[in-house]
Amino acid sequence: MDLRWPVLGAIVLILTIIAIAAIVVYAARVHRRPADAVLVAHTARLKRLPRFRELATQQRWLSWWQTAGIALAVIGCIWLIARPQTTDITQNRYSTRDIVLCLDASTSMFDEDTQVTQAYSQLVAGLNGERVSLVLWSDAAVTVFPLTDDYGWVQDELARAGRAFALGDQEYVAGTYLGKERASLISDGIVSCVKRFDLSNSERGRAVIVASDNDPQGGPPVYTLPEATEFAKERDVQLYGIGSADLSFQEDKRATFDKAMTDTGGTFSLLGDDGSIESILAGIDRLSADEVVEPPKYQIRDAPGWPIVTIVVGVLMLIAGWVYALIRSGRLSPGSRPTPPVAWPQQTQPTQQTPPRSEVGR
Amino acid sequence: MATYLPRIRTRLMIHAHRKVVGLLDGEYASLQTGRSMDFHDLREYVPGDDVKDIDWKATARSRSLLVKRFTAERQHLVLLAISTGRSMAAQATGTTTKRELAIFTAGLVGWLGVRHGDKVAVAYGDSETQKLTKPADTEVALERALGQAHDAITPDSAEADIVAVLRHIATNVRRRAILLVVTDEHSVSDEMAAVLRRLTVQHEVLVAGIDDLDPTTAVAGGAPTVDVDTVSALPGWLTGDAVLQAQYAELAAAEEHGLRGTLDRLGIAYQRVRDDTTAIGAVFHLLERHRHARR
Repeated sequence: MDLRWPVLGAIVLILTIIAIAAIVVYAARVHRRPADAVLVAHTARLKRLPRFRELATQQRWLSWWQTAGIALAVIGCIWLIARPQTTDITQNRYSTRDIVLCLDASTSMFDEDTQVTQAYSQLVAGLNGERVSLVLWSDAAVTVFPLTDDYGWVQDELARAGRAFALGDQEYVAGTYLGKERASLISDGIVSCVKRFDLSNSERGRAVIVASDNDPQGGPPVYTLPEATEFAKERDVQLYGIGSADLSFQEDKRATFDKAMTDTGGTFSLLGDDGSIESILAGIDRLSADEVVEPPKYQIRDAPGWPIVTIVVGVLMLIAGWVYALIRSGRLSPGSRPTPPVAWPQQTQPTQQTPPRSEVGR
Repeated sequence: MATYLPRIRTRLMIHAHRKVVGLLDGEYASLQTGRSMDFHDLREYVPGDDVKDIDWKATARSRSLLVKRFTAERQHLVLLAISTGRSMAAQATGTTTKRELAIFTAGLVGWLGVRHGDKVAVAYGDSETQKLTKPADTEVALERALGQAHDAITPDSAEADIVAVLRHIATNVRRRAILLVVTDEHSVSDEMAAVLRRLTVQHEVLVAGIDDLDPTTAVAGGAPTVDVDTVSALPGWLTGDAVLQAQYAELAAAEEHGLRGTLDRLGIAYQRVRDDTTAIGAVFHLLERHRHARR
């Protein structure tokens, strides 16, 4: 625990000590009688009374108790004046995996793309620290959003994409068609997605999650599927496939898609398969990746806890002593009222009229 | 100026005290041991008169109890020894200071002496200074002497020391006197016993004890109570504790009993004067006690 203003605290502490010393010295020196004081003589005899000694002992303890209470409260206040602070060290660790969601936006996939975006959004919900990007492709590839770890934004965008696909909104996928009657070029799409990774010289885990029906139209693509796989492998990118449900009837397309994915170390599953998302997540977890450790952040904040506890304890001690004194003097409990002040000249007239005969005889 | 004696006289002349004056006169007259044989006159008997002085023949004639009065053989000396230390400046009760009470008690006896044509001197002092006024038989002289004693009592005076005053008397007073000691001692020290023993040989000694304010009882008005010696305020927890009050009352009673016992053994009459309303009665009791102690 540090003090922000230790000098100020020390000054106040010294002033307090000086003030206390001055009061003690002054009180001892200026021992003046109050003007309206009622003078009493021979009070030293009281010390012989056992009850007096008892009360004096109680009073001494009470005084020590209250002095301790005041001291605690004052120390707490001075401590607060010195402004105690504490330093919080926060160090964030980020995993450095990048994932490109690579979505086939061809007309044939429109019906299923809503489901695929839902699958993506499930997948993103399971991520922690990874950067995600969404790329739509058909003839050409369009980046909907680049690599980011702003998952709230990512989920919004995925929901927007899902709605667009559900409505068959062609404007949403504008740019993926270049007007050359080509569509669903999966190999070019994969290569485009692989090229979306930045920071090519850092050891980051990279994965592309491809959703497609593997039905290229209007050929020929720039890259063949094996070349695309090779392209991904050269860049240490793992490909994960989510195949269209239609592929369950098209064994050869499914097989080539599967092979293209598994060759890079990824997995392949069909849309609607239970556990498809889990298998992809498990694969992503297996991706070797550096953990980026941020430099520690030092955050200084006020820490008035203990001084306040000290003050509260001191004040409570004072109150307790005060209540005890009240109870002892009988001013709190109705059972034992203090004796009222004696009204003085009320003693009986002496027997002056008739001198006491009894004393004459002695 | 003249305030002390008029106050005493006024007090004695109020109706309730009319008879007391006569009583006090009777008691005072009996203080004087030496009695001349010169018959002066007869007067009605008042309780307190010596039974030996009753003129039985005259009584039989007049059918009322008559006592003989004698002209004083000589002027007696009444010596009023007043302790004027600072403890006398304290309160005796919530309304009366010990100073007023002491001056009143001494003044009453002195006034009786002056009335009887005796000379009265006042010895007063504390541990530092002791004074003795010149014996005089006038009220003016007594008034002045009482005034000096009164003014000597302040909270800034030296410590009270009645032994010093008594020693002063022992060394300076040659004549036989009726010595009234007005003090606030709570016990008789060995020195005091010694000097009293010495004085009783020479004088008729009476002791009037002035009481202290009970510090365990709250004073009406809530003014701070301060010890006159240490000038420190008495703690508030002193008042209002029933056990402490009982123990203090016990202590005070034991002290008075011890004081009276010690003085009794010395053959000295003692009476405590508690407050100004009972002061006249206390003086009467003191004279009465002295008369019986002697015989």
